[in-house]
Amino acid sequence: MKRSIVYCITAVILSAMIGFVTTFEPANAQTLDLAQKIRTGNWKPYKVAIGDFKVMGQLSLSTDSLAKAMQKIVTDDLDFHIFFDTIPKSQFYLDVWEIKDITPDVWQRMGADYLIEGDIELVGGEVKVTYRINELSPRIQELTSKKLSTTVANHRRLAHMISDAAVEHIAAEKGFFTTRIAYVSSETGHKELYLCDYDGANPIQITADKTLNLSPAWDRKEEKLLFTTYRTGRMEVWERDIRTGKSQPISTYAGSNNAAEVSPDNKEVVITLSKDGNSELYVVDRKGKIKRRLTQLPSIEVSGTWSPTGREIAFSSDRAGQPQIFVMDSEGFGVTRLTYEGKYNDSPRFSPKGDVMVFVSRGDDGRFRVCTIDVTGQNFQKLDQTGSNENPHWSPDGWHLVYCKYQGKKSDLYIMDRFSQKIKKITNDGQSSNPAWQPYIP
Amino acid sequence: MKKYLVLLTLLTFAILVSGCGKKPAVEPEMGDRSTETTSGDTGDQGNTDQGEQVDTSTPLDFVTIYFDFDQYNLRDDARSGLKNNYEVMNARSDTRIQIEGHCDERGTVEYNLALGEKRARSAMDYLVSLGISRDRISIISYGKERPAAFGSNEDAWAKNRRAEFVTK
Repeated sequence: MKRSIVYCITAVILSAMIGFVTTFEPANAQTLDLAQKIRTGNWKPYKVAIGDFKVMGQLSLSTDSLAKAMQKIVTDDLDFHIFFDTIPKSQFYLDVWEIKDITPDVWQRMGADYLIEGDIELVGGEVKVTYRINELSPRIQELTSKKLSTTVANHRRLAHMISDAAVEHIAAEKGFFTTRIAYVSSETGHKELYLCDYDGANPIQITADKTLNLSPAWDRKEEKLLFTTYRTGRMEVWERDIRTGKSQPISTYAGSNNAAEVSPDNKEVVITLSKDGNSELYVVDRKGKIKRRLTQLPSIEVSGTWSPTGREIAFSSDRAGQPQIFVMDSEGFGVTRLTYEGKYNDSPRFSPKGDVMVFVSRGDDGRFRVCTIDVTGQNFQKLDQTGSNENPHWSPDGWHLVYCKYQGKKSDLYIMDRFSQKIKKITNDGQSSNPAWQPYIP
Repeated sequence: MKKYLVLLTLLTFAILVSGCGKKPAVEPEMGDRSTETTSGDTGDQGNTDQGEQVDTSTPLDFVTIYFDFDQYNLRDDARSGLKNNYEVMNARSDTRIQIEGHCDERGTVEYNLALGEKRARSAMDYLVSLGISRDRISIISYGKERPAAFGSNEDAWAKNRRAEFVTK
């Protein structure tokens, strides 16, 4: 009788312990398979031609330049995307065959599998575009077509919407071309928060407190940012509503309040607080009230980040001497060390699919490299080998990254695909850092 | 003749003593930030002279203290700098200070903010252990955001791994 009670209790304890062990969702098998194929070069990108945007109605210089600008935006978008290659016009081909009008079959002979075309009309201050996405091979057929309109000032966004449609209809993935990036720039002499399009266009300054602002983190549903700020003379975490322009304090505990990230369900924030004398990870609610303390060691624990399910939190800790990446469940249990390669690793971020961690690793030369590792601890990869690269952040589709490259006194934002096959500089002020790519808004 | 010999001996001694006192490693008291105490993570043998230092004049000002790469523990030169700063605080009993912890560029933004705070805290704890009241001191970290020197070399890095003392 007694023995069976003991067995029962043991079973309960054991099952509770198993419950605490960090488990990972198996990532989408197709994603892993595709990633493997791209990494090893066994995957061919979709070959897309972007035809001229034909001017309808009255031809004017402004309509013509707008048409060319929009064609270039779509071309640049798809050129950067890991799934696409764009097909340039072959002048040789056009000359030799004396081709006047490039019809879909001509694009096909130049190597394109898909063709994007558009008609553009300027009526008053309004741009009206009809785009068509055609499949050229094995036979020519229209996949989709749509009419869009917007103001001239907003024409870049409209072009990005066409690129997003191409990603959706050709690659059956969600595009990210209309998402934005929050970052920090010191071009006014102070580090302030800014926002720009994914490609660096349309930068706007969103704080102007003339102090020091760092580490922006996006709300998961609305256009709001959490960030570290020194506006009161202390290191605090505040929230900024981009639409209303209003800021409010969130975490203002004694000591430092730093490196906040909003949970996937948008209800909690993982944050580093030093109110008890040492940097520890906490989970607070959206008003800053402490819900639970996750770590309790004399070492530095910082850079907490949520897995896409919200069930795990990765962070860096120097409990082993120098910072390394660890993963635990979101209650603070089941801590496991993820990185063993590299002496100094920090800034972890789970990929949106949860299969890969991106982080930075310091080399013996003191420079940082953006690296990825599977959450299983396998496939350690070093990306972009030039400059010193920090603060990597996933694009919402999980196939691309934004990061900050330090070269001499200058720092600028770059984007690349997750295998660093395509790398593109998106800021030019030489003073940009701390990027955070906006998630998909549900 | 004997007189001259005594004079000469005295003179030599005086020169020696004054020369000794100018060893850079034990001169943070002069408030000179550019002294080479910054890169002195190796042989700080000069510190053996510490006992001989009988400086009765009021210290001039707070001095910045420096740290080793990736470290927040106090070096010997940092401790003597803190003793100077302790004297300054004693002399100006109404002064409140903020200790600012800073780091070199070879750390990430977030980790450096935490490390800079540990440096400021080390300095604060030492001052408190010497007898300064804790409510006269606050700490803040700027990580690598406000470097004292630009450049990606050991000289600049050593100057940036520091704690500064600012009166409030």
